[in-house]
Parts: sequence; structure tokens; C-alpha cells
Amino acid sequence: MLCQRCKKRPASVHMAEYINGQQREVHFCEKCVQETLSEALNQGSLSEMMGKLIGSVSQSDGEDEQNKTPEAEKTYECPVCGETYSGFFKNTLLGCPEDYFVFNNSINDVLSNSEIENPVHSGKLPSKSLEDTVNENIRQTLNIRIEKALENEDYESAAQIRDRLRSL
Amino acid sequence: MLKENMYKLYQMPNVVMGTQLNLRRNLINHRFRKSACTSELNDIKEKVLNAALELDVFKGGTVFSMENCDFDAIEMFLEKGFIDEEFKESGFGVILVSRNRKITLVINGEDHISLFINGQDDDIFESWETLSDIDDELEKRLGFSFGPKYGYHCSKISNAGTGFTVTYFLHIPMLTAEAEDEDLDFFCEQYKLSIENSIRDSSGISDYSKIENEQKIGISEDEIIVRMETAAVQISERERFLREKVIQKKSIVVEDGIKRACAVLKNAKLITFHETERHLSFLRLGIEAGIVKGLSLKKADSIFSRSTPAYIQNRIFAADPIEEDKFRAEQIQKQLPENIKYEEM
Repeated sequence: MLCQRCKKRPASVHMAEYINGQQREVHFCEKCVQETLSEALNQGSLSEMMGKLIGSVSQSDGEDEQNKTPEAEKTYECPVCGETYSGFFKNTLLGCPEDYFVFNNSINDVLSNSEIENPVHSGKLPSKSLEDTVNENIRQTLNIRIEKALENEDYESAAQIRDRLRSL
Repeated sequence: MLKENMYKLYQMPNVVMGTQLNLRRNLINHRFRKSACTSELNDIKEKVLNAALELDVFKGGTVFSMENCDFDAIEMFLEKGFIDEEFKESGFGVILVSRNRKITLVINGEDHISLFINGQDDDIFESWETLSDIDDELEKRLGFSFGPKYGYHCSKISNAGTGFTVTYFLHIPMLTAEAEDEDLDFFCEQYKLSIENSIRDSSGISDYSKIENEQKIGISEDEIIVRMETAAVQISERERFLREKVIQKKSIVVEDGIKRACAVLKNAKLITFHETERHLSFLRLGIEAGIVKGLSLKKADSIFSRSTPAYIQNRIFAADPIEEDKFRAEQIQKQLPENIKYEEM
């Protein structure tokens, strides 16, 4: 899945917002998150910064992206576990929670094909707030990426990610 | 006398043999088993086990580690569907069984956490509340991977959402007999459930089958329970109706089946699993109707679970199927009480 802001780099930060009970998901690359948040850093609370980031993607852009991604997702590889589209279709098992975002549209197709009318969660919610959960998801991605950078001895990237983790 | 006893078959049909609730969760900062490295799996094992042992429900429970677990225990977990073959082979799998033996926590299975509650006559909503409370406590200590759209992230896409499965174990000889398959297709479609043989390595549907909810997303846990309860009641009603029909029209067939079952199980030198299954099903009918004496339903079910291909193959490792059939026949005769008998007409 490509970043919905720059439409160039793979998205690795995933967020959701609720407006009048309607859910909308947005996906960004780390660079866009960093740029937008640093602009907004001195201007308000975390929720305002999030709002600005999410608002930087127009609704219509999001819909276009969703319409065209199932095919594009076939070429993606999960940055966390290395799972590919063909890999998860072969044995029906995913490699990590991040795959739910990387292969978002394909998973939606799989669930819709199993005659589930509205494949959106409507059961029990975690006791933590949604904002905490989103933050945890970002931390999760960054933690795994820092491990990978260290494994590859890419210390510069590891330091950058560490700084981002500290700023959360 | 026989006719009168036969009617008990549909007046008090013991169709539901048991239930199982299963809840799947994955830790927020870890990959699933398929991709996780050794240290990650060890980390998950330690974190989950430590968190679980802090809970009252698991205090004084038993920990089974796959590294040093005995054969009988592994076999029991496999038969109950708690674990798969991959889990059995891995050195990172741990199973924690509560002191009252009703609740089982499987760590590092297909998902990091898989909680099971098995019951027979229990209130299924109460069981769900228990499971949900344990889930809340573990979540406070560990944090689970969750997204607003796909709910609780699971290793298998079909489990995403609630990660909640309700299973009913059923004895439905009349529904599976003759050409009643269309009934089962109707139930599957109507209640979005799957029906399959309750034994993990047998294909198709048999007298001993289980139903499970297929849909786990776009539906709440309470709705899943209500849907599955309704399905179980409807299937029981249908089974009851068919038993009545069969008894009215073919009571001689049922009587013959019960008597033949007693004779074969007591005397066979070789017996296949499918033959065993069919005869034990008739014995079960006979016990419920009070025709077969000296054998309890529990014992009949125990003989059944000790006759499965997996159980037998793990016991004797025979290359020749005849050896397996011989061993199965011997085992059944050892377990059948001496005083088993049936009432004459």
C-alpha cells in the first residue's frame, strides 16, 4: 500500500478516524508523518496534530486509492515480516499484525468473498482507548523497524527511528 | 417394552454432547508464529505465562510444556482441538490448564494466545463472561494487537474480528443417515456455520459431528452465541423429529443396529474406525433409550475417543492397517464392561 499523501513511498503508519460513527482509515509513509507532525508540533495537542495529518489526505484521494490498491498490493512485501501477497494466499496465514494494513484491500476482498456483508469489527473493544491503540501500533512498527535496521547495521536509520520513538 | 424405550430417544435426545468456546489474541509487539524468530517466541512464552499465572483462575493450574510433555497429554490436547501438529513439534508451545480443568490457555499456537472453555451443561453466556474477564486481565498486562476495521488481529484472516469461536459437539445419527444432507446444508447456510466430523483426522460428516461459527467479523460475541445456540436447538429439534420418524417406520432397523453394535464391539477381531464409530453411535442411542444397560454415555464417549485413527496410530505405529484394526478391537473389548447387555423385546 502506498502512502496516501505522497503516493510514492510504501505506507507504514496506519490510522483511523471516526466521523459521525463512520470509520475512515488513512495510511502514510514515515517521512510524511514526520514532516506533517514536525510542522504541527508547536501548534496544538496530539489529537490536533493527528487531525491535521489525516486532513492532509482528501476524501476523494482516499477513495481512489482504495479502488486501485487490490491489484497493486500483489507486488507489496510487508516491511515487518516480509510476507508477500502470494505467500499469504498460499497458506492463508499472515506473518504479523502489520499485514492487515499492508494487504488491507486484499483482506477486505477475501472477507467479502466469504459472504460477510460488512466485514468491519463490531464486537468487544480493547479496554485501552483508540488513541492509545494507534500509538501502540506506531510504536510496534517502529520497534520492529529499529530491530531490522540494527540487524542490517544501518545505524543512521536506527538512530532516526529511535528519535521518533522517543518523541511519541 | 422396546417401543416404549425407543420413544425416550426423541423425548430426551442427548444431541448436544458438549460445547467449547475459543478466543484468540495476539500480542501487540510481536510477529505471528509463522514469521517470529526463536527469541521472539521465547519472549512471548515467558510474557504470557507470567501474566496468566498472576490470575486467580490459573493459580494452582498445570503447565504443560511441549519440550517435556508426555504422550497422553499431547494426544488429549490434539483430540480436543487445542493444538495442531506444528505446535506439537515446536519447542515454544506451552499449555496452561486451570485448576478446575475447565479453562485452557494455549501459548504460541496458531495465535499467541488461544483461550478455551469446555463445558457440558454450562450456561454458554456465563462461560463467555468468564473468558472475557480473563481476556481483559491479560490485555491489561500484555496489550493485544487490534485495529478498528479488522478488530483483533489473528494469524488466520478468517479469525479476525472477534477471534471468537463457539463449537457444539453433536450426536446426530439420524440427521447424517440416509439422504438428510440437505438439512445440514440448510443449517450451514442459515446460521453461517460449518459442520464437520468432530475427529480431527476424519473427513466428512459423521454421527459425531461439530458445528462452529464461520463468521467472526461484523458480528458481536453475543450475537455469535445466540446464533449458535439457535442453530444447536434447531438441529436438535430436527434430529428429534427424524428419530421419531425412524422409530415409527423402521424401529427394527434401530433395534438391529443396537444389538449388532453390542455383538460386534464385544467380539470383533478386527474393526475399522468408521465401523467403530457407527456401532458406538447405536450404543449411544441404546443407552439414551435405556435399552443398553451396564454402559454409561461417558464411558461410550471415552471408548470413541480412544478408537480414533490418531490415537491408535500413535499407540502402535503400525505400518499395516490390519494391525491397527486388531489393536482397536482389543482396546474396545478391554474398555467395554463385562456386564453390558440389552433388553429383550
